[in-house]
Amino acid sequence: MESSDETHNKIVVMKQSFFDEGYLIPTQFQQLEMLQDSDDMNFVRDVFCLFFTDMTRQFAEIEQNLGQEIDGKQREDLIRFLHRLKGSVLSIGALKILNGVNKMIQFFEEENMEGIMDAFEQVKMENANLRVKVEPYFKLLEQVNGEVENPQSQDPK
Amino acid sequence: MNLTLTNGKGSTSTVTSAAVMKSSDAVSDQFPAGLRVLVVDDDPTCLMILEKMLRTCLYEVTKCNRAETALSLLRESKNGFDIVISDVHMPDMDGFKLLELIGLEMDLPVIMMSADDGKSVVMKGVTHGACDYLIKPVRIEALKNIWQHVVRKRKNEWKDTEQSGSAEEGDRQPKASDEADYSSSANEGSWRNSKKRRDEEDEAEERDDTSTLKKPRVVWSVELHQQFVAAVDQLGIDKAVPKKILELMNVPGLTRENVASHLQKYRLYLRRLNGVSQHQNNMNNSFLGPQEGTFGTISSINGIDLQTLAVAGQLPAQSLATLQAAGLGRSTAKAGVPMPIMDQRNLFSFENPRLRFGEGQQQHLSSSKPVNLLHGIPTNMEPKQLANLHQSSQSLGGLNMRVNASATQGNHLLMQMAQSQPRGQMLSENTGPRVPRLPSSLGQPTVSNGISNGLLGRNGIAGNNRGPAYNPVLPSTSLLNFPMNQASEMSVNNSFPLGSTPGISSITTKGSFQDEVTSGIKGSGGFPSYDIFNELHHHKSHHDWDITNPGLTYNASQHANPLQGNIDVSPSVLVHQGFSSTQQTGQSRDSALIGKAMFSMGEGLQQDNLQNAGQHLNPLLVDNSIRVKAERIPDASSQTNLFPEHYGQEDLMSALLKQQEGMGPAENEFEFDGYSLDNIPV
Repeated sequence: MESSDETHNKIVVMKQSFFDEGYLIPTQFQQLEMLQDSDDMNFVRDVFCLFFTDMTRQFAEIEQNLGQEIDGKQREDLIRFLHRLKGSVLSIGALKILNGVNKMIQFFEEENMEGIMDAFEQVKMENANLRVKVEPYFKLLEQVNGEVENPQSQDPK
Repeated sequence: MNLTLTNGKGSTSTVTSAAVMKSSDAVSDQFPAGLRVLVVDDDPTCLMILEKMLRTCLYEVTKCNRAETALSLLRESKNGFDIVISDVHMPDMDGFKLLELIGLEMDLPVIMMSADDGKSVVMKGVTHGACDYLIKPVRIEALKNIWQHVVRKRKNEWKDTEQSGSAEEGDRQPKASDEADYSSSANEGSWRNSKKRRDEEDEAEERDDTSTLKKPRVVWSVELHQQFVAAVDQLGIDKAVPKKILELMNVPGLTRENVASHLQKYRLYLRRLNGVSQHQNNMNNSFLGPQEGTFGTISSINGIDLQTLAVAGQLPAQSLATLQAAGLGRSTAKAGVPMPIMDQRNLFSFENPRLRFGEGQQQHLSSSKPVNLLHGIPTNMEPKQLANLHQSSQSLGGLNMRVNASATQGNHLLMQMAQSQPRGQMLSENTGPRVPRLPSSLGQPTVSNGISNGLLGRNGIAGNNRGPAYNPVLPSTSLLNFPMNQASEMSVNNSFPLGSTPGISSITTKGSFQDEVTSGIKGSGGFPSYDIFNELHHHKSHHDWDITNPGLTYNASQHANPLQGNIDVSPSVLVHQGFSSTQQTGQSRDSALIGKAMFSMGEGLQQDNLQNAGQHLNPLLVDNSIRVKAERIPDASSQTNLFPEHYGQEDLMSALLKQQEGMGPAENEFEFDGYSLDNIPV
């Protein structure tokens, strides 16, 4: 069992690692944290949850528009999806995923479908990595919040 | 109450409709808190974060993930939102398209946002009229200041639309058309109330009042506009300064700013008229001998298309010249037209630098410009000449047309027309191509009729004989009634088609607009002006038809005086007119009717008629113009982005924002000009 202090430390350390390891952009994450208030303790977590859920959808849509034989409309859709993806990624400050998305856009402009597809693989991988990285953090946070709400409960989940 | 929005995929997102219900009054107290923001973005993560940020800014947020949903929300609740933030790349509708539609229908400030910071797409946002472009990730600091766009827009709108008679921001529906009148009566009431309220708050400083989100619009009814024109005329177009105009007008509650802005539009209108008429005059030189461009620019007189007559070979140039001279010489030939304006003559003194009323104009006129000399001339015209006109006008049909002998003398001419109005016949319907009517009160009904017939046959100069109430409007109405089918547009140029070629040619050359107008007019029957504009501008503006001011129609000054003189059929002119004639709410109803009648009559109207009509259509035009502008904007940029120019985001944005803001109001002007000129088919 960890004391709440230890838990808190862990949280802090974990969060710092996001930035140090280049997973998340600190300023953006802080923006999200700033939006979180007493009424909405889980805002940041909810945002990330939503993000990961939505990534599944966005990836699927992008997938449909990849390939050497895509037509004009698919091309248009693709770049639109890419910009949307970029927006999502930027909103949570997922730096590594962002790099991949930027590459995709770059290759799109160069009309290098293979490049797009390679970069896409990178994007998907980074997304999975990020998820693995942040999930424990939010779990801890939840735990801490739970402790705050229920001071008696000290059991880690 | 919560609305649930479904996106394309079947998932739902909750929309708070509380924001929609909120009244702006409540908001203004704590402004910018309570600002009602509509956020449109198909990215749920962004949407969630944005909503949170906006709520943190104490704004009322409604979010939706589809452009279509956003549009319906906006349409359902016309004034339910203060500002829209929309993503650029959306699945069901391009963000720019949404931007255009919002600008067209609701005229709300729209902020575009995207992760795409490419110069071209940001430029596209600017050119499409976005008031800002945010690059994702959007920071809360950027959102904290969006209220400035609301204030700015309202401030600009207030100034722009004060003459258009639009009553509410974002509510561009042509109520007037429903009522078949100017609808300004309703607006006027609200305007006056709000105006008084506003004036109480802030004496002459309606702008920069950030404490109120909604600013009352100054409705330039026909009557008000007439007063304005009279004041301007009295001062002389060159010397007319807002302050003096304000004093002369002596309208309680009217501010110097109102007048200044109205004046500006008026000047532009006149300028446009002048420019157009000159062009047209040049085209028609062959008709009636020497024609001076300036003459042509003289406000198209009440629609008597002498040019038509001339074309018909029935009206010798000399007659026209004489008529014109007679008309010019007639500064006081008013048969007691109940013109509300102090000095009829003043009505015709446009601020047209190029157009010099009085001698200058007379000279012009005598140069056989197709000025509406016939209008109002009847009383003074020599029988012979009148007879000539009469004969030549036979073909025009039984229009009760007033010959506007002097474009320059617009005032008295208009008055004459006005006089004839009450007595004159009602304007014919739109159906008849030539509905020129000469007010019988001219004293020479026969002649005038004859003239009108001849002249109006083409021009359909309508004597707006709606009745006493419309007297002042007559001239204008007659113009409106000019046969719209004139190919030439309603050249604003005052070159009234007294037979001079310019007028005629101008009309013919500008055909496209006229045609449109004609069709519009024909259809309307009731208020042709509205229809015309509606069709033309896809917008139903029904602001005050400045028909009650005969001087307007007559007003030869095509120069920036939209109210007076030639009705520049060209859209831009109409726009101006729309602006200028919003004052006269009181008479708007009448004017509107008259205008419509004029239009209906004016199928065969020469452009001059149209011009005059256009003048009265000012209020309508205003909206149209706005619409025009809005409509044009989208056309401006058709570029596709994807050009990563790697400009510094911030640098680019600041530059663009500067451009944007600087361009804002100017764009309107620009658009108008471009529109009018471009749309003049030669």
